[in-house]
Amino acid sequence: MTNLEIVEKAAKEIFKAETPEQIEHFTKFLTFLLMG
Amino acid sequence: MESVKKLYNERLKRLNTALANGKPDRVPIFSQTAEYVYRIQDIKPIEAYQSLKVTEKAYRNFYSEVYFDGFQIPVIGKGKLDTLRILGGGTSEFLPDGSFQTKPGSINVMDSSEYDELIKSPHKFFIEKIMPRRFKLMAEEYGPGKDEKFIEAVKSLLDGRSITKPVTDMLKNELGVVELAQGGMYNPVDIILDFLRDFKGIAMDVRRCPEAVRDAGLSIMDWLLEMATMNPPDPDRFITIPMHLPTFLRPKDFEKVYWPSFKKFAEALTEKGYKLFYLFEGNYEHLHEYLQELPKNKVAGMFEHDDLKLVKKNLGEMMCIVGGMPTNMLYFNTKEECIDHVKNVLDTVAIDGGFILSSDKPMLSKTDGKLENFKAVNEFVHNYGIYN
Repeated sequence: MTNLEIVEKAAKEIFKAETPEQIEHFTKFLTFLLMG
Repeated sequence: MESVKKLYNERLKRLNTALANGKPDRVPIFSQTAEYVYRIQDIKPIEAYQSLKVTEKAYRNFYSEVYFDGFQIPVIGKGKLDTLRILGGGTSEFLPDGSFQTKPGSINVMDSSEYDELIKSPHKFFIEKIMPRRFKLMAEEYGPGKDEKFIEAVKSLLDGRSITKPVTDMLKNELGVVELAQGGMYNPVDIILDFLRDFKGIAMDVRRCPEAVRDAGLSIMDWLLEMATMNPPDPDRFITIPMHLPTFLRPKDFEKVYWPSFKKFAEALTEKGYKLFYLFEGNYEHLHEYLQELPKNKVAGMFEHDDLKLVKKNLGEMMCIVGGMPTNMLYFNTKEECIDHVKNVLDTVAIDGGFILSSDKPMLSKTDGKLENFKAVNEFVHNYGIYN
C-alpha cells in the first residue's frame, strides 16, 4: 500500500467518503492538516 | 442569562460594525491571548492540554478579570502532541511543559528542482514526497499496521480540534464574549516558506526562479480554496491568515511572487462571503500600495510594527485596523505610559471607526504583558473609546 493509498483509506474510513470526488476531497483535507 | 445574551449581542454588533469598517458604539477590544492565559496564572500549558477543567478554569478566571469583547482561542492541544508522536516527526517540537517551538532544520525538506512536481499536484506532492521526509512512519516500507497507525494519528488530531468547544461555549454563555475565528488558513506562498523551503530556501528561489514560486503559489491556492470553503461562511466570524514572507520581500519581488495568489485568494474567498483577518507580522509599510487593492471593507488587518497613523491614512478607507497595544509596552512600561499610548491611538487612529483594539501580536508568555497594565488598558479603552 502506498502512502497515497493510506491517506485515501483514512479519508474513506474517517469521513465515510465513497465517490472518487469525496475521497480526493478528504485526502486533500487530511494532507492539509498534516503539512507540518 | 438574559443579561449575558444581551451583552453578547451588543458586543457582536460592536465587532461586526468595526470589522465592516463602520463606526460602532465603542471601540471593540479583541483578545489575542494564547498561552499567555495559562502563563500569567502560573499554569504550565501541558496541564491545560491534559485537563479540560484546568483550561476552562484558566479561561474563566482570565476573561472575568480582563475586559474583552471578542477572542480567538488557540486549538493546540494534546491531540497534536499525540499525532506527532505516532507519526514520528513534524516541524513542531513540544517541550516538557507543553510549549512548542519550530524544530530547527525541519522545514526545508524540498529541493528547488521539485517545483514542477509541486505545481502539478500540491497535495500529492506533500503525500508522496514530503510526508516520508517529515514523518518516520511515512518513510517506512508498507507493513501490517502502518495504515492503522496513520488513521490513529489522524483521529487524534481531529479529536483535538474540537476539544476546546466547551471553553468557547463557556466564554459565550457565561461571560458573553464573542468568538471571532472561523478557523485558520495560510496565504499560498507562505505554505512554501513555512512547510517546504524555510527562509533561506525561498529567499534563494525568489531570486533564481521567481516564476516557479509564483506558479506554485497559484497551484497551492486552488487546494487551499477548497479547504477554506469546506464550511459555509459565518457572517459573524473571520478566517485568520497569518502573513509571514512579505515583510522580507522588496515590493517588486512581492508583486512578482506573492501578490498574484494572495490577491486571487482574497478575492475568491470574499466573493464567496468569507471575512478575512490578516496578521501582518513584521512591517508592511512598503506594501500598503498593494494592500489597497484587497477587497474593500471585507478584510481586517492586525499590524505589528507599522505606524498605525500611516496605516490609517493609506488603508483606513478599505479595511478595519486591528492592534494598537504593543506587548513590549505592556510588559516594560508603566500603567500610565500604556494608557497615554493607547489614548493617542484612540484619538488618532480609531477616531471614526473601523478600528479594534488588540495587542500587536498573539500573546504567549508572561513577558508579553503585565496583567495590571493589560487590565488597566482594556478598562480605559472600554470607557474612553465611546463614539458620539
